[in-house]
Amino acid sequence: MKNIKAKKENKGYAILFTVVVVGIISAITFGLTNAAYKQMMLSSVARDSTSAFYQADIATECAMYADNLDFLTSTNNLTTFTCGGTTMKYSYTAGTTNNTSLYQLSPQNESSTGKCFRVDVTKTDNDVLITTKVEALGYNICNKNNFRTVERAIEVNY
Amino acid sequence: MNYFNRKNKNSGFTIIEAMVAIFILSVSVATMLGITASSAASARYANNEITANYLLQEAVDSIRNSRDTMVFQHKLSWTDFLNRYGYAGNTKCFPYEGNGCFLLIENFDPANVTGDDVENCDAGICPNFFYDNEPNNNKTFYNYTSSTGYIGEFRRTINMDVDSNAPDQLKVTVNVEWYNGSETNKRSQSLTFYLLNWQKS
Repeated sequence: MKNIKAKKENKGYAILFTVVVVGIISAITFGLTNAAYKQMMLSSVARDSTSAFYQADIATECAMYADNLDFLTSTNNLTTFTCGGTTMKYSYTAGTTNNTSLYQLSPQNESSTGKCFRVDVTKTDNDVLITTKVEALGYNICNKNNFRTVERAIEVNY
Repeated sequence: MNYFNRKNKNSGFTIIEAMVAIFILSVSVATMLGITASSAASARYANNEITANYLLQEAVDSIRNSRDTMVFQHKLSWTDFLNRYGYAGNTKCFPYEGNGCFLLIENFDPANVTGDDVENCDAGICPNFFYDNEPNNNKTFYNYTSSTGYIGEFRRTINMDVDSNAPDQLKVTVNVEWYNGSETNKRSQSLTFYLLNWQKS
């Protein structure tokens, strides 16, 4: 009778032991996988961020190039400007005060999944000197609604 | 009779239970080992990808440094800057579809007009970087001439293009490739950017 009781107490021990061991291994594996996943996400964001940053960089180059060519004038009748391997839409808007003017270069297809940039150039003429502010935005994916889109910005003043 | 029957039943259950336990343990350990190995490979990939990202930026910023030093600071011409990278003779980094070039980063001299620190990649294959982790020899970075470092797994190629219709716009593509763990697992990352001749008067 005692023998039977002892066996009954041992019943299920192997399964219990297995479940505990499997649980511990699963927890360790989950921890490792989670760390690896976060590293992958970080490296992926770093890559996308670099891509967006250099788009913003191309945008500043284009703005300063356009300015150097005296392209940024209110009398310019052109509607596009080819720069940085792409043809951009060009627009001019007179500022709210008479001495400011806004020039914009923007992508022709804003919903594309490729890289793109946009740039706003604000010129202020205070009769003594003209100051220029370049605000460049770069995107790894042009469509802003994409959850993987990263935006980087560069501002230049001169 | 009843006592023996019950005893036999309990003994059998223990063996089956042990077998089931061993089976579950084996399957879970094998699965977890697989997942862990895959996580380790992913972590290695993430690490290499960040290194590749910095190697791309190093090349981009070196070329920009060269443009600014030559054209802006030393008042050399835009063509002088392009010729440093082989524009005139269609060598080194030109043409765009060619073998490409590599930058001897440890000898980098941004204003070197003859481009002694820019070399052709022979047969379309640029050399692998050395990586030296010896802290006292001032070469604790990826380079091409270290004698004490080991051959790293990264290789960097630079290609350049100037469109004849837009001679003031230089297109640069930097490509970094590496093997992630094994020779069959080739990975790469590339970055294309433009430098413009906005500094001309």
